[in-house]
Amino acid sequence: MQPKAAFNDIVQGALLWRVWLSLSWQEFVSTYRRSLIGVFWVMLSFAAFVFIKLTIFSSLLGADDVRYYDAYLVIGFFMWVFSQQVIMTAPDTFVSASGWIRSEALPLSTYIYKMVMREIYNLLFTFVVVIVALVYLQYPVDIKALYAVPAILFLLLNAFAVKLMLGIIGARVRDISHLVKAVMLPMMFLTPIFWMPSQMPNLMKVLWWNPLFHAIEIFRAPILDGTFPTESWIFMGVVFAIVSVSGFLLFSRLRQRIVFWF
Amino acid sequence: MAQIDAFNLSLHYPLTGGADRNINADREPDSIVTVGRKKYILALRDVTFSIQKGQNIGLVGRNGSGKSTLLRVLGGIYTPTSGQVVSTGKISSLYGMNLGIQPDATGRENIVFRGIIKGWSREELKERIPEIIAFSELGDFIDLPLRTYSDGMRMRLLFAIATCFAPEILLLDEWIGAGDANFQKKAGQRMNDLVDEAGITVVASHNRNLIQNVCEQGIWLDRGVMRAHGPIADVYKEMDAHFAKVDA
Repeated sequence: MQPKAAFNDIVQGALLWRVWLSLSWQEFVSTYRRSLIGVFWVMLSFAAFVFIKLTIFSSLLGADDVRYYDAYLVIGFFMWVFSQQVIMTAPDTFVSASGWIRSEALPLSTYIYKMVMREIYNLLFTFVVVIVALVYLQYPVDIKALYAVPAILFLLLNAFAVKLMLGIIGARVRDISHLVKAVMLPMMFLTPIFWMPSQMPNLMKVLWWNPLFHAIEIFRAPILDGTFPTESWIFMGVVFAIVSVSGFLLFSRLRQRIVFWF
Repeated sequence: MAQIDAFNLSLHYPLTGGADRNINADREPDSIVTVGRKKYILALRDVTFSIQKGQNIGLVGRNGSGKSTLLRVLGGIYTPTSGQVVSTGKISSLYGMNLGIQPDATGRENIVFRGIIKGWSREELKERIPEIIAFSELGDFIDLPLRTYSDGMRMRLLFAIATCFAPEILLLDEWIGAGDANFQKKAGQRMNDLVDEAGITVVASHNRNLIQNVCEQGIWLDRGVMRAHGPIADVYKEMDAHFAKVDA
């Protein structure tokens, strides 16, 4: 156990912002290199998905208030894509950086910051689509929508903790990466994005324990309803405490051993 | 002023990911140790030495003798299981041609990444880039993605980056394999310059010509044990005598 060294690693990694900013941006851009419209594919694929979902689901479900439902779906799906991405890539945090880890004596947290930055780029690009959609729907947004700002910052902090914890476990036990992907697929339907909690009250009694619901809710509710979802914030606070503490404990114990696992 | 002191370095390399189940520790008592349910390779065993400024050290020994492991311990990549390394001087290292690079980025972008990692400022980067391109003799290829490079080109670029800022300690692992004779000469010259400025270079290689050309001192590792440390000719003599006996 070396909690002090682990803490130092996280601080020193943050100070290397030039490293993780440039690496993450290069990786983000290179995914789309040599393609005609480049990084705008992020927006386009998200926009196409949203558009199709809107046309299919809003008519299928026959929601009472179509505009409300459409906005609900757009914001919820935006947060879903973000959360799913954060979790699914988390077990590969250190594995995908193994070449760097085996050749540079950098703080390991550098690679976590790098991964979180990539989520931020995706977030910014897809958020443009959300704004366009809300404007198009002429959805009335309250000043209380600004509660979504601390929510997203908190979720990014959460993303760091998730990547720390799952990154270590995923580097040691390679099944985790596959397991997480297998779990996330059905979660898309077990999380209220396409359907509303009010439509399935019985199911929601169980699914209330799904952390992804609360992660989405703390961002969605302020924009959609102009409310501050206290319950969901508390739930996410507990989730963050558990994930960050266990991640930090693992890091304190295994930090120096990770390099031997590749 | 550079200096490296290694005190009783031992490194037990943990076997994971199924590798532990495929190896029978009883049949390899010399290299595998079992602690509880875990198996470890004895990669380094009680290695102690001191390297002074102005020395070129050749790290020699057969495959799997611990050369790369030792270089990574010296570079701070691996934490030794016991013992410690005390070194003074700015370290620059080159462990392999496929590590620490972004293959999809251009040569120029990779210079920037490695420069940033080494903490160069924007001005320093600007100043050094033409110099690195010139030394690596890459010309216009510098703006092509690294994955399009031949091994030799990649080696030249990485070596140029690793040495351009006059590191005090230079650690090189099998770097020579890919360079042509002309570049080897240039690289050897640069290593000598570095040592002349009171630096240290440690080169692990199986290429005896290279080692004898650039190194006056040598360390011979055999299954993680340091068998000899001294003038390179003596080290090779001891090593040859040992293996002549063993292999006979």
